[in-house]
Amino acid sequence: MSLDTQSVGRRINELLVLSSVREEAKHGYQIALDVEEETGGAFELQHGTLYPILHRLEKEGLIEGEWTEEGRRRKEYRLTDAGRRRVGEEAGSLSSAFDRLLDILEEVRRVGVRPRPAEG
Amino acid sequence: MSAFDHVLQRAEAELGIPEPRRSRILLEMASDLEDLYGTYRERGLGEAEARERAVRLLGASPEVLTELRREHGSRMAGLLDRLAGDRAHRLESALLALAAGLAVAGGGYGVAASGVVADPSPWVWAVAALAAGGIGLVGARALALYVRPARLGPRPVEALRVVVGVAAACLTVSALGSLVELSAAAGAAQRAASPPDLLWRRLSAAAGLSALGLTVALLLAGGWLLLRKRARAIEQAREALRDVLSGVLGAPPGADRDDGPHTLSEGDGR
Repeated sequence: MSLDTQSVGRRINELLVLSSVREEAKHGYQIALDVEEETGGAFELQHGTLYPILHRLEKEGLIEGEWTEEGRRRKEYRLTDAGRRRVGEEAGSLSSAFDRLLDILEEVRRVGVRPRPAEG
Repeated sequence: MSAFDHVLQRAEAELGIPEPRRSRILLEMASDLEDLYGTYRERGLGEAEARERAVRLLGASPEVLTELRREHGSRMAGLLDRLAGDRAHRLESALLALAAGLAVAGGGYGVAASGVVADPSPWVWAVAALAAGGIGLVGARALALYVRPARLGPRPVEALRVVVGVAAACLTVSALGSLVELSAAAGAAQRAASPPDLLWRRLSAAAGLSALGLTVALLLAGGWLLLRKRARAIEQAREALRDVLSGVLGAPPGADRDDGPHTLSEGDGR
């Protein structure tokens, strides 16, 4: 299956967010924190990029947002059944595409990049 | 004062989306920032570093605010945004006036075409003018509540009372006019020399005027009820946002918790 490279960043972000709430409902800040920690700092949803992702996923019915009142009003998100299906599909699609990418990267790493031959 | 006032005020200023969504998004951001700050502090980070890291992760950048505007903004607002500010404002006012004029002209034509009132009372024009004003007012308030949050005043529910006032004025004017017409009918009945249909025409004019006043008042009351629900939701969302920002729930380290409620946009015409 081919991958539209222009949408890869968005799809990775969405998958990370969906995956973060696969076990339990979480508040936004917990999701941002968990994405950073679960990926060992390789991915960070910085500068509030979390919110457009959350709201888009909520609009698409992949997660559900609910306001809670424990001392203060907070919004927490949980994965819906549709979201659970999307996680499975996206994980499969992205991992097979990334396997190919890793093959290329491995080849580049193994062979190295030859220096450009000098002209003249 | 909240430790994140500067971040939230910038977000509020640039998040031009309809209420109560705007307040809810700001509330979500405010609450998350405070919680993340608390988490970092529990993990042993200093105040400044905890604050800086919380803002770096959750403080919305201008690009993110633009994306949120795209995600939550209405199509109408998007269309109007493409026009320059003053032109958009003039266009909106013209559209509202046109809608009010068309509504009144259509209603008037309907009444005239029905033949119920062959000889309408002159008071009808006063009621029609009030109806046009009332419809324009409801349209303007609906525009602010659903499309143009920046034009909302600090008390949206209170601002709607003027619609009730116009509805009451419609009822009062139509009742007064009907009384005048009934009095004319009584005079015609006492005068033997009056044309035979004068009594019927005056009674008919009084009934038509009362029906028109009542219909307009009911329509305005319906509009008020619909808009009031949304205005109340907006006020509640603002209230919740104020709670978070007031310092009662999330005062910055070392800040005085008795500063009194901090209000975003209160009094700045939003």
